[in-house]
Amino acid sequence: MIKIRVLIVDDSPFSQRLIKDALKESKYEVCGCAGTGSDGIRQYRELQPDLVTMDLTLPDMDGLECCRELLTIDPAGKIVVVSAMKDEAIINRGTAIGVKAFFQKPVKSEALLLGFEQIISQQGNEAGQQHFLEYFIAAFTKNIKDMTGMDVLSVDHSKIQTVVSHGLGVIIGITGSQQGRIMLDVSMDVAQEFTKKLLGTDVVADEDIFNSISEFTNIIAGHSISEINNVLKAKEFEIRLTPPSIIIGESIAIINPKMTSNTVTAKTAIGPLHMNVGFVGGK
Amino acid sequence: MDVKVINPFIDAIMNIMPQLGFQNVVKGKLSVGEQFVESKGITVLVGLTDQLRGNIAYNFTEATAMSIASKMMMGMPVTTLDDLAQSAISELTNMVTGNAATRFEKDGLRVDISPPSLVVGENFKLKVSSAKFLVVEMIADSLVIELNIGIE
Repeated sequence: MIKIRVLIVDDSPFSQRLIKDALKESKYEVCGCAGTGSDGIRQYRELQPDLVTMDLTLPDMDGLECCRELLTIDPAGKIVVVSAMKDEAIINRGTAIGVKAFFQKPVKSEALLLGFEQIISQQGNEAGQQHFLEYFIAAFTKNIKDMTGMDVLSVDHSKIQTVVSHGLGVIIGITGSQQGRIMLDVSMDVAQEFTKKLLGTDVVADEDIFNSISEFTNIIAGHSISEINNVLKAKEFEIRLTPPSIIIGESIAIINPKMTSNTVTAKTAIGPLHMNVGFVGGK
Repeated sequence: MDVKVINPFIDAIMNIMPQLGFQNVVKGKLSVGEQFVESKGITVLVGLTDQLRGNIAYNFTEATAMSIASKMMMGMPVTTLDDLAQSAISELTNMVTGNAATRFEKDGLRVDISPPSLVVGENFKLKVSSAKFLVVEMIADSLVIELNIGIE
């Protein structure tokens, strides 16, 4: 079995020992111990560990400062704080920098293993979320056809980090057991033509466009989430939607730092419609 | 929309900002907005659902967003809104909205929040799911954060 490698940054040999003991006979192995922040940074570069435990009081620098430096080197780094102090201010400052979890000394083996498990499983969770995308694609293409009578000529999808809007974007937040968002994005021209099809009229006002595209997005999101909730069954896994907000403007970047998303483009006779769906790690 | 809904957000900012190193946090102008939120350059959207449904748009100029991100990262110079700075600003709005949600819950209102979407660009505007919304400015060490609160 390939072990998950952990670097300990802590100036106390006693604490280093406690963390090592906590990880004994688990799937984790301690690949290095650093007693100072600068040694931690050096070892991080050299060993490229999967996880780091960080003390907050180091002889040469503040532990959070060291976390920030490590995350500058590797923005995807997985760091947990293990410290005598654990209060709201530390958690808020640490979370802002990108620390994944906080543990108070003396750290219990079960708590540390469970915390590591949650951090590691966030990656595995992506497979399930990829599966959810299928429900969104089905609802997207079905509702274009059902609501406008137009055929979907082709469907493409690609994985992306940052969405750049085409003119009109509708965002609906996803919350509950899975967190993320769905966004529908179209050019103003496509929005106008699509609204004409939706309403079956030749003249539409801006207000009609905003309302129609926003409701269309709400329907796709509602259908997809209902299907997913049916699969997830238990009430505690339920997913919910927040109300739509609309972004109007071209070449606007929509960024969710913790999210990898998929853009699905459906080509129709009046032009392309883009749907972007992204999730962050589950709760 | 009851104007009282802004209080948990104001209290949340008053509570969170000092923890991130800001010394002087005060409430600025309060007004009612209609139709569109004009972005100052960086706008972060957070959705609310359950017993309170709506959207919050946190509005910053780029310079303000960079100054706040720099402070949050313990004074690290921030000259562009890079990944780390984006992540810090997005975490700030997540913390504030989460803290406000906890305050609503203490008053008996269950509120669930969505992950933040950071919207960046020139000349864009937003609609926050209610025709009228409350606008409150919060000033932290002379940096202005504008909250646009639209509750259905």
